[in-house]
Order: sequence, then structure tokens, then C-alpha cells
Amino acid sequence: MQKIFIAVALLFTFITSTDVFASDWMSVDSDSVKFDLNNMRFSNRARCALDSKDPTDTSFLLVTNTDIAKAVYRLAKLRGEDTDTLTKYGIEVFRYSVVQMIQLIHEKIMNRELPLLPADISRDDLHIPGNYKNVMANCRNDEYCSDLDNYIEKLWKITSKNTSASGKVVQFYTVDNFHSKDSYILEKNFENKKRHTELKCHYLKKFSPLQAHLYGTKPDRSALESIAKAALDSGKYLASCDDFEAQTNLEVAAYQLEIPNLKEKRWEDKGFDYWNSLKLYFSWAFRNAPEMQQIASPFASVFKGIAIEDSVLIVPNGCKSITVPKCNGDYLAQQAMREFAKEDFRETALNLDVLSSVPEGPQDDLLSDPFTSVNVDELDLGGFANAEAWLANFKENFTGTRALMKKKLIHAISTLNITKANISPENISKLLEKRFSSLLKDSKSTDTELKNDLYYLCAEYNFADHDEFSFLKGKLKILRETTLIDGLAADISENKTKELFDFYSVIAEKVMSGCAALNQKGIWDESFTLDKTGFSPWYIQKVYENKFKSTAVEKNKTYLETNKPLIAWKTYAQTNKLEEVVCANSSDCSRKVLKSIIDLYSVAQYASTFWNLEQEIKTPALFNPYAERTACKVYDPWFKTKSILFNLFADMSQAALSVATPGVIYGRLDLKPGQVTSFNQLVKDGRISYDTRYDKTKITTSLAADFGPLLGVPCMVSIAGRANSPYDNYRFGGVSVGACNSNEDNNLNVRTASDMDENNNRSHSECISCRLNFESVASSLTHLSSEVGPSFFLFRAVFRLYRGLKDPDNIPRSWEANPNHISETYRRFGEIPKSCVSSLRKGKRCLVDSCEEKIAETLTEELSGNIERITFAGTSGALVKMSSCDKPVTVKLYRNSTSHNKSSCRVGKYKVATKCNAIKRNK
Amino acid sequence: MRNILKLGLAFIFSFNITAATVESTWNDQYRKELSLYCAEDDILCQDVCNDTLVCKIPEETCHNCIGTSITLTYIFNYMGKAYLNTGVEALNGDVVELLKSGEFVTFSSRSIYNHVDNFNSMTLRSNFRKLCSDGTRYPVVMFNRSQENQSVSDVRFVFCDAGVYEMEFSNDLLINYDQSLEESLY
Repeated sequence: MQKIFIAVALLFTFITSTDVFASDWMSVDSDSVKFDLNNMRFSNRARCALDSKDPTDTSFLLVTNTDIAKAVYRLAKLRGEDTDTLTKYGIEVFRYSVVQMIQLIHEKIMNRELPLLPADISRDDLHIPGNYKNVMANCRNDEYCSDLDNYIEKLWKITSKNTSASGKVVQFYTVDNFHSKDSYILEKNFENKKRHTELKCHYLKKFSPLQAHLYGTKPDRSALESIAKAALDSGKYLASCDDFEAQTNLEVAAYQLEIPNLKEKRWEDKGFDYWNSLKLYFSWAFRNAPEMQQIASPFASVFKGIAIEDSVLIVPNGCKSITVPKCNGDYLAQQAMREFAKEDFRETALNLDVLSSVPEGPQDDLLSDPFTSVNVDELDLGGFANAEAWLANFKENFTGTRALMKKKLIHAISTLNITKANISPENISKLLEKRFSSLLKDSKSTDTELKNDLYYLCAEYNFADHDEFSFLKGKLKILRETTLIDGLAADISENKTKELFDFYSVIAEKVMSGCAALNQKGIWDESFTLDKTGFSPWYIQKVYENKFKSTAVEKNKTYLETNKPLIAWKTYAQTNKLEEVVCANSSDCSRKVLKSIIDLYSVAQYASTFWNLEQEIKTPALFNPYAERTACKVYDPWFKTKSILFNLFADMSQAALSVATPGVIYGRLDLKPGQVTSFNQLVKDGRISYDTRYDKTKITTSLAADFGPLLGVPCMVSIAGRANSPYDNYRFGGVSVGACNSNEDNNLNVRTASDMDENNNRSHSECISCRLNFESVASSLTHLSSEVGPSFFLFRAVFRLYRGLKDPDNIPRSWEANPNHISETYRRFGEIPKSCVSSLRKGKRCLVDSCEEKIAETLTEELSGNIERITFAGTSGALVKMSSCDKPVTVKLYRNSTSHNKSSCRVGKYKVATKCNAIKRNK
Repeated sequence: MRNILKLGLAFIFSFNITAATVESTWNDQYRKELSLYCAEDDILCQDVCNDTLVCKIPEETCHNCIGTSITLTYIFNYMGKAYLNTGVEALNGDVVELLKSGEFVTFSSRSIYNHVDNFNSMTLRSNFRKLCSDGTRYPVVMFNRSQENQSVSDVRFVFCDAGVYEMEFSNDLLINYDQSLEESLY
């Protein structure tokens, strides 16, 4: 009865009102706008760096099908089935299984049907379930952790039961001491069920302005228009995850996952635990969960065998992270995956550290390029016709490089094991003596080939093992202590890395002592010309920067034409192929042992890039190179802000000082620009003049109080203006601190202002530059200070703060934009009005007035379809035509006038025509 | 004493499993199974399945066997080089025990686990065929499956037409020491 009354009243209002205003919205194909997208977050460099510490709510799921496709193809061959049909079917089921399992786990985590598995077990301030903590603490990342499997299996048995979520929560206590609130995202069993948190999954056809946040920072009007157009044509760029017709590429598939309606604070606390849980549960469940029998039918048994962690990658869609960034080798190595996404990977691959014969390690990139760019299409998304082509390129580069690394590892392990098993270091030594006996007996020998060979042997070992000059020796020693390789290659090696390294060490010692004892000047006399090409490729790359090609292989071939190899596979007898030779002679064996150790070292450096050492999928922060830079404190996102505030503080202090001690501090003319010194030192050395009216000690105390520990920081002297007369004085213009961006600056390595390291460019972990600014008296306003006094400094303080805060990169800034709201504005006005840019950049709606915005908010939230027209009648009602219903929806409005001619608006009840009841969500 | 006993047992049982034909297959439900076809004088089928002629043993898919792991790559690349037939006939009891436990993984040149070469490629066929001197077309190599992580573990047997043999993880090498040093080397 009440509804009828409202409808009649509204109708009456329309008929009688003279104030009818209708606005037609741009019509769109409903299929094109069916994708509901989360907010896009645009971040500048500093914000992006900060964001890396927060958990993301949107990610890309990257699936490669090569392994499963090969397996199903072979299965079809074996069974005599049609290979094309079965392979295509297998790929579809595989993709479906991956997405379904992720969605199932997400649903269970969100509904309290699976407890969270905390990402960081070292935190004392959080509740960490005891058994879980024990299991994780005892799991080493280079060994399989069966305890973790058993633990998850117990939880999964409970979650698979057909009981209520609250019943499961109770049963989980039998497994571990979970906390009813801390261990779940949803804090209570009966939280608002209307809040939809189901995982949104979109298949990515093509990267578009819908990922504009990966291409740029502050979205301007034209960027917003591009987003609107893309959102209104989203069918071109996105598809449903189960739409296999759209997934044309059989090798790879990229999906965009989004978790909607999260409570911000709760997500900040639990987001990383969510992702950690998802990863751990997924790895286990994909192989073992009984649900897989149904999800992956008929291939469940086949899929059980897949190395799923090699086929699935989840990367954050933006600057936020899935894994808490850490400054350790594992994390850094995973971030190195970014390189494989580059369009020009093949051209630049040889310059990459990962492919270097003696890599510096994943930390090198941070130190050599601390201020890399971000959000400028770092991963060359724009360089490819579609998302599949980008992912295919990424996958090809990654798997190709991994295959190279694997080959390197297998070859190195095999060479070391074989050599160790068949020749003792003592016998190698004897064989070497015999091989070079003609040179040892007669240094005037004319056997140039042998002289060269001995030179290569000694030089290569010197490079790697010289006590004083080898930078490599210390690095290789680290290899002895690492168990990474043991974890990777336990099944194919008879010896542990330690044993293999010890074998190498003894050989190295013998070779080095042999080389040291040589009559070097006699053997390699003036008549000897070294044939540099005979060095091993790794040596030529490292020492001669690949300026010429190695002929080491050719030299071995020539040797084997007249000699039998020292060690070869038996098949060599039939094939005579060089690849069947383990090593040709004693010097070749020694050099190959060294090369194998170097290869093991290089594989160990990047092992986490290529192999999953833990039972979980990789989740590198592909789009945020500042994740590791922030974790390793190479880049401090707050630094510029702090330094600006420091400048403000310094200027304010100066203002205070100028009252107490006007023009008190002057530098003497012997200050040299670029000279590194400290203010304290300047005072101590008597290079700072001060007004004789003041006691020096008091001034120093006062300065120390104001400038704090920074006074002790050595700073570069910077002199503005030139003192023409040797008698001119310089005035101290304050201390300024900035992030260093050039190696030519005198960089400082400071952890805190009072904690200084030696200035060492290679090992710094943080980097700031500090200047003591002196202005020559003639060019400064110092002499006016008695007149302008504190106000000058205060003005300068404010001005510098203003200017500093405009820094586009180094002051953290972010903007949120909602593609649905942007497209709504575009449809309403036919463009993005200038006046809407600001609101849209804050993630807000922007329509004509608050009433339209409220109507849009309520109806698009609660009804399906798009708004096509809003007709206002007077101030208390509106008819809204939705694309999903022929009849308009009648809406009751309540307007309140507020100050400044603005009115607030509230949407009251609305009525949908009976025949359109189906458009109501959550009926 | 133990070795003598082992040899004695080998003598007693080895002839029993000589004529069984073994195939590593995937059934209509796409589940892996090991099929044994026994001749009348074989007791292998009888021992494992209580059937005199045919025995189908389900084989669990080993974890991480579909992919390009270091171990799998090594197995297919180095079969016949680092995984060798010792020539020692396997004890029937050992074979039966492993088959009954289900903790095994089998490989052949037609394995779907092979991702390092084409299906049943010439090279792979030749590597596997080297393991049997009797011309077996598709020798089946059996490994242990780790109880801990369900992945492939140590190599155990090879099924040739003429019998089942012990396998070893070793290297089939030629070593050519210089004559003058030969005596001083081990």
C-alpha cells in the first residue's frame, strides 16, 4: 500500500511539476561494460616505493601451458587419440582448474573456511599459531617441507567437510591454536553477508588504458578520457575467465584478479597473510585436494604431476605487493624476472648480469641504478599487439634463460662429479707436471701452443683464486657454504656442494703453487706472444669484455685430432663428438673444474629467479622496481619530504639564530667547492668565522642543539657566487640535504644522521648527499640580515618548502581512479569535463550534481544494467531509465540546501517495475 | 653370508620374471598404469595381482614429473650414460615388493614426462634401447617414488624382454691416463 502511494505521489509530482529536466546518457552495449573493475591507483616514484610495503588487492595471474600441453600431446600420441583436439581440451581444463582452484581457496579464506597462514612468523606482536610457526621455522628453503604438506592436509580435511563455516572454525582448533579473529580475514562468523568479496577474474585480451597506472603517474583529462573509452569498450580488452573462445593463444593466458570491497585497515593488516595463504594452499591443493578430481576432470591424474609453480605466476597489478619486500638474495633474485619482460631482451641479454659468466648478483642492479624509472611502461606492455604476445615473449625469454642456466648447472655438476670420482687432485697435479714437463725442464722450449696453454691455466686460476688480487675468491668461498645447489641438484649429484668445492680448492692450491714456482720470465720471455683467443669464454667476457671470440673449443678439437681425451663418455668411441668429451687433458680438466665452480656460483646467485625453492608460486613485484630498492634502503621514499622539512627546520633555526646572533657565521675564503668536510670540523679548524661578540663554545653548542647530529655529517662545501676578492668572506647559507643522483657528487652513506659509514661507493646501502651552502657575502643578502632579519629566513623556509613539495617524483603522491565512475562521467557528458578531473582523480563519482551521483551510486550498486537517462521532476523525484529494463525506475529524493548554494541529496525508496524485478541484485 | 644368500635367491627367482612383457600406459580415465603381460611360466603377474596372464598396476603420477625440472632433464638426457644397467638380474621379491608398494615411477622413450626431446625421438629410443642388450623395443625403467614428496627418486630396475635388471646411477666413461702415469693413478 505504501509502495503504491509512493509511486502515485511520484507520478503526480511529474505530471504537475513544471521543473522537469531530463538528461540522456550515451548508450552503450551492455556486454561492453559488464566488467566491474577495482580502483586504479596511480603512483609517482616515491609513492610507488612506499606502496610496495602494502598488500595489493589486484593482481595478474600469468599461466603458461607449455608443460601441460606437451604432456597431453604425448598422452594423445601414446593413446592414439587426435593430438590437436586432446591438447586443446587439456589446456582449457588446465586453465579452468588453475582459476577455479584459486577462486575456491579465495572463497574459503574469505568465508572463514580456511585460516590465514601468517606471512611473517617472526613477529611478536601478532598471534602466530604455534604448530604452524614450528613447521615453518623448521622448513629450509632448499629442502622439501613435508611437515607443511601434512599441516595443510589436516586443515583441508576440515574445510572439505560439509559443515558450516563456524563449525569449521571450531574444528581448526584441533589442528592449531588459531585465533578466532586474528586468524581470519572476516573477524566474525556472522559479518555482513551483503559485502561481496568474491574474486573478480577477467581474462586479459589486450593491455589498454584500463592498466594506465602501469604507464604513467598523474592521470590528466586525456588519460581519463582514454580510460573511459576503454571501459566503455572493455569487451575488446577483457573477457570472462571461463570464456575459452576468447582465449585463442594456446601457450599462455593472462588474467586480472581483483578482490572487491575490502575493509582498508583490515586488509593492510591481513593482506600479506592472505596472499601467503593463497600461495601455500594453492600449491598443496592443486596436487592433493580431493576437489581437483572434479575440477580437473578428466585430467586430474595428469595435472597432479605438473610442476605447477613453474606454470603459474601471480604478479601485483601496480605498485603494491603480494610478498613483503625483503632485502635478501631470494627476493632480489625473483625481482630479476623483470628483465624477461623487456621487448628488446634478445638484443640486450648479453649485457644482463644474469647471463654474465661471472655475475655480480641481483643486488648489483640496485646499486648501479638506484633511481630507476617507474610506471613508465617498465615492462614494455605497449610494445606488443596483445597481452598474450607480451606474456609469450616474457615466457619465452624466461624459459629460454632458465634452460641455459639449467644446462650450465647440469654440466657443472656432472663435470665436477665425474672429475672428482676419477682423478684425485694429486693425480691432476702429476698429470699437469707431465703435460708441461718440456717447459719445466726447458723454459726456452719453442712449443708455443703449450706455453699458451700453461698461460691460460695460470691466468684463469689467478683470476679466481689469487689471495690478494682476485675479487672472485671471496665470492666463490660463499658458494661452499650455500646449500642452494644441493636443494636443486640433490638427485643428480653424488656430492654436496661443499665436497665439490673442497675438491676444487685442492686443485686450485696445486695449480696456484705450481704457477708460482714457474720460471715465468723464462717461459713467457720477450719472444713469446700470447694468443689471447685461447682463454675460456668466461675469462674473455670478464677480462676482455668480449672484445674477441674464444677459440678454446677449436684448440681442444685440434688437440683431440691426435690425442685421446683424458675423460670422455663411452659413446665418444663411436661418435668422436666433442660434446662427449668431459675434458681433453689435465690442463683442460683443471680449467673445466674451475669453470664449473664459477658456473655453480652464477647459478646460485640467480637460483631463486629460475627455480621454486619453496612450495609456493612466485609473486615478484614486476611493476615496481622500488620494492627491492625500498627494502634494501637504497631509496627512501620519505627522504625528500623529510629533507624538505629538514630544510624548513634549518631555515627556521637560521631565523632564530639570526635574531640571537645576526650574521654570526661566516666561512673563510679557503673553502673549496666540492671539498668534503663537516660543519663541526670547519668550526674546529677555525674556518668558520663568527662574531667576536659571541663565545665560540656557546655558538657551537647552540648550533649543535639546533642542527643536531647532522653537524657531524661530512658535507660537500657548496659555494654560490664567486668571491672576487681574496678578502671576501663566505656566509654560511645553511645545510641542504638531498638524495644523491650522480656518482660525481660526494655521496655519503648514512643510516641515521649520526651513524656514518666510510664513504664507499660499492657497498653503500643508503645514499644522501649533503651540502654546506656558503654564499659569498657580496652575492647574498647576508649583509641585509640585520635589516630583514628573521623574516627573510622564514620567507625562504616557506618558499623552499613550497618548491620542494612540488617535486614530481620524490614526494609520495598517488591518485585513485575508478574506471566505472570515469566511464559513467563520460557517458553522462559525452566527454570528461575539466571540472570533473579533480574528483575522478580522487576515485570519486562526478556527475552534474550530488543527486545524480547518489542515484548512480544506489542504482548501479543494487540493480544490474546501466543508466540511460535520468529525468528529474522537481526536487523530490526522478525517473531513471536503466538499460536492463524497459520501464523507468522511480526514485524518491530528499534534498537539503546547505551553504554556498550547494545542496546535499539522499536517495529514498525506489521502485522497479514488477516485470523487471530480475534486475535487482541480491533479491 | 648375506651376499651368498642374495645370489642364491637370485638364482631361484630370477628366471621367473624373464618373459613378462611390461608396458607403461595411460588408461581411458587418463590414469597411469603399468601393464604386465605374463607367459604361462611367469609368476610375476600371479605374485603381484593374483592373475596368471595380465596384471595392471595403478601408478600414481609423480609430483613435478611434468615439466622441465633438473632431475627430469637429467634422466632423459643421461639415460644410458649416467643411468646404467648393471647386468645383474633383479630379485623377483624386490620387484614384486616395489610393484605392490605402488611407490614407483616408470619411464620409457614414449613417456609423457619427457619434455627434453620429441615424443619417442630417435635419440631417446636409442638411449633407452642401450639399456637392454636383447633388442627390447621399449625398455621400461623403474625409479623409486619418494614417500616424502612424491617425486622421482633412485633408479631401480629396467624391464627388458629377457628379464628385469638392477639399474645404477653411475657414469659410463672412458678414461685415458697417460701411460707413464697409469700405474700411479687409482
